[in-house]
Amino acid sequence: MRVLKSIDFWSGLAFAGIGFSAGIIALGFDSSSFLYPATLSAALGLLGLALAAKACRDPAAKTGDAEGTHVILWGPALEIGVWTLWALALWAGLGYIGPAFAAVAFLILRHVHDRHVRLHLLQAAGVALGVFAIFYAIFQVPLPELEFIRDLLE
Amino acid sequence: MTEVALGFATLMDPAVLGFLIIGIVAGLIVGSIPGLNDNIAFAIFIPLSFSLSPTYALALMVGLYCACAIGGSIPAIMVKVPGTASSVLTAIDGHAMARSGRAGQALGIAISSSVFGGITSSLILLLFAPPMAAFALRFGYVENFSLGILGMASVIGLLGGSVIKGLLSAVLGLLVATIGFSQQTGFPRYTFGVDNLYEGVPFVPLLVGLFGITAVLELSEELIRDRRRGLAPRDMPRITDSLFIDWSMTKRLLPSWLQCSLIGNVIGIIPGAGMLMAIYMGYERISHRYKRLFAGKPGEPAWGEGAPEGIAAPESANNAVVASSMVPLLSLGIPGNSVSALFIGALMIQGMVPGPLLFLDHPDVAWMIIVAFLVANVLMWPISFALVRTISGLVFRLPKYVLVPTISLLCLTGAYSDENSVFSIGVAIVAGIVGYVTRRLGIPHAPLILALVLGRTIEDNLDNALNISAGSWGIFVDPIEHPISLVLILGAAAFMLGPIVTGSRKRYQARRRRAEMEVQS
Repeated sequence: MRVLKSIDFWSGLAFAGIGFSAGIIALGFDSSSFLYPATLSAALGLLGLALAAKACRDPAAKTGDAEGTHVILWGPALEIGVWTLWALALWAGLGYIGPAFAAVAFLILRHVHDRHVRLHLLQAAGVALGVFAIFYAIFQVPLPELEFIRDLLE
Repeated sequence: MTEVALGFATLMDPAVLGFLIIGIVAGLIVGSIPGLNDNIAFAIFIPLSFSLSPTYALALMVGLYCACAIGGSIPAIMVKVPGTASSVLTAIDGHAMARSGRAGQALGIAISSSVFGGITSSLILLLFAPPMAAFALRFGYVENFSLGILGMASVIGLLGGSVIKGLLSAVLGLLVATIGFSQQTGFPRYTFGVDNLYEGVPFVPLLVGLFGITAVLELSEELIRDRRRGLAPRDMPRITDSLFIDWSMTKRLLPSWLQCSLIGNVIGIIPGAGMLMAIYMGYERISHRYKRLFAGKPGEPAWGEGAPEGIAAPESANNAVVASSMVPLLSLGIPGNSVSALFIGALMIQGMVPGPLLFLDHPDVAWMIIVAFLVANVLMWPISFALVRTISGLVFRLPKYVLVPTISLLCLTGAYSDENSVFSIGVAIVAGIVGYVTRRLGIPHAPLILALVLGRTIEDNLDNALNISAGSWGIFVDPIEHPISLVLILGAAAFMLGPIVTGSRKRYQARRRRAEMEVQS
C-alpha cells in the first residue's frame, strides 16, 4: 500500500485527530464561547480528512526516507532534547551560565572532530557568557543565576 | 506635511538614528550569513525590544528589515549561496560576474539597485499608508472581520501549492488563537488548568519559536546533511575592482530599476504575495529586455552569465517589496508578509495597536516608522559600500556549528525574558517543533502566522458583528448597509477560487493530453 508511506496521508489523519479532539473539548465550553472554537475544530478535522483523501488519490504523494530519519534524529531532535534539558536545569534552579555552557559545548563538540577541544570549550564559554551579558547586564533581564554570580556581578 | 515633520523630528533624535544605523549594520551581517534571514533576526531582536523605548525598538527593526535583503546578495554574488531567499536569482548573474573578476561591480550594482527599489518603496509607503489608514477608520466590526478574512484568503490564494494545506495552516492558527479566556464571556478555553495560558499563548515566545527555533532546527539539519555529504567550504573570489558604478551603467540600469521597483511595490502591497514572486516577475520581464537590447553584442555576456540587469532586476524588486509590505500593516493592521507580521508583534509588545488607530494614538511613532524606511534606504547606500568588503570576508570565517547553538541560546533566552518564566521557553520550544514539523510536511507558515496575529481580532469582530445583526451572517454581504464588507468578502472569494480554478484547469488539460496520447498510441 503506497498510501501508507505517504506523509500527507498520515499528517492529514493527525490534523483530523487534533481537530476532532479539539471539537470534543470545545463542546465542554459554556454556550456563548463554544461555537467559534468548535467550528474551527470541525474545519480542521475536515481539512485533515481532505488532505488524507487527496493523498490516497495522488500516486506521487511525498514519502519519507531512511536518510531523512537519521538526519532528523541527529540534527533537530538532538537539538530539541539538549535545549529541553537546559530549560529543565533552569527550572530546577541550577542557574543560567552552567547549563548554557554545557548545552552549547555539547552542541559544538558533536559537530567537530578535531583536536582543538580547548578552543571549542572556550567558544562555548564565550557564547554562554556573551548571551548572559547581553540579557542580564545590558537589558536587565533577571536571569535565574546562582547567588554567588549575582553577588559577583552586582 | 506637519505629520512628516513630526516623523522626521522623532527620527532625528540621535539615539533613534543610532538604533536605525545599528539595525542596518545588523541586517547586513545577518542577511549575509547563509541560512539566516530577517525572520530570525526579528525573532532574536523582538524580545530585546522589551527594554527599549518604542521608537528605539522600531527604528532598529526598520533598519534590520531594509538591510537584510542587501546582506543576502553578498554571499549570493561571492559564493553563489544566497544569504536570503530573496537573493536566489541574484546568485546567477552576480556570481558569474564575480568569477569574471568584476565582484566589486556586481556588489555595487546589487547595492545601488536595492537602494533604488527601497527608496521607491518608502515613497509608496509615505503616499499610500496614511490615506488608506484614514479610510480604514470608517470600518466597523463587520468590515474589520471581512478585512481579516480577505487578508488570510489573499495569503492562502497567492502562496501557490495546495489550498488545503494553506487552509489547514490558517485554521490551526485561528484555533491556537482561541486558547485562553474567551473575550466575550471570560470562559477559559483549551487552558487545561495551566495558569500561564489564561491570557492566551504568550505571543513573543510563540513568534520566537516559530521563526527562530524552526530556523535553528533547519540549520542543524543542514549541518548534519553537509557533514554526511562531506561538503567542503567554497572558495571565494576577491573584490579587486571598484564598487562604484559609473554614470553610463546607471543610465543603462535605470529602466530595469524602474520596472522592477514598480513590480515590487505592487506585489508588496498585496498581503501574502511576497518577495519571491516579485523577483521572479522582475527577472523574467528584464530578461526579455536584455535579450532584445544587449544579448549578442560585443562584450555583453549571455543572460544568466553575468548580465548587469540580471543583478539589478531581482535586487530592485526585492527591496521594493520591503516598505510597501508595510502599507497594509500600517493602514489596515494586516501584515503584508511574515516579517511585517513580526512588526505587529513588536508593536503589540510596546502596547500599540497596529492599523489605522496607530496614526491617531501614536502619530509620532507611526510617522517615524514611515520616515525611517526612507532614511534607512538612503543611509544604506554609504553604509553598505563602506562595510561590504569587511562583511564578505567576516561571514565566511563564522563557523556554522557555533552559530547554530548561539542563535538557539539567544532565541530561548529572549523567550524567557518575555515573562521571566521557564514556561515561555517551553512555548518557544514547542512552537519551534510545530514550525519545523509543519514545514517538513509542506504546510505554509504565512497563513498560520497571520491567523495567530489576527485570530483574536477576527473572533472579537465576528462576535460583535453577529450581536449587531442578531446572529444573521447576511450582515457581511449586505450591499446596502455594508457595501465595503461585501467587496472585501468577494475579494476573499476570488483569492480562494483562483488557485482552485487554475488547478482544475491544469488537471483537465493533463487528462486531455493523456487521452490524446492514448488515442495516438
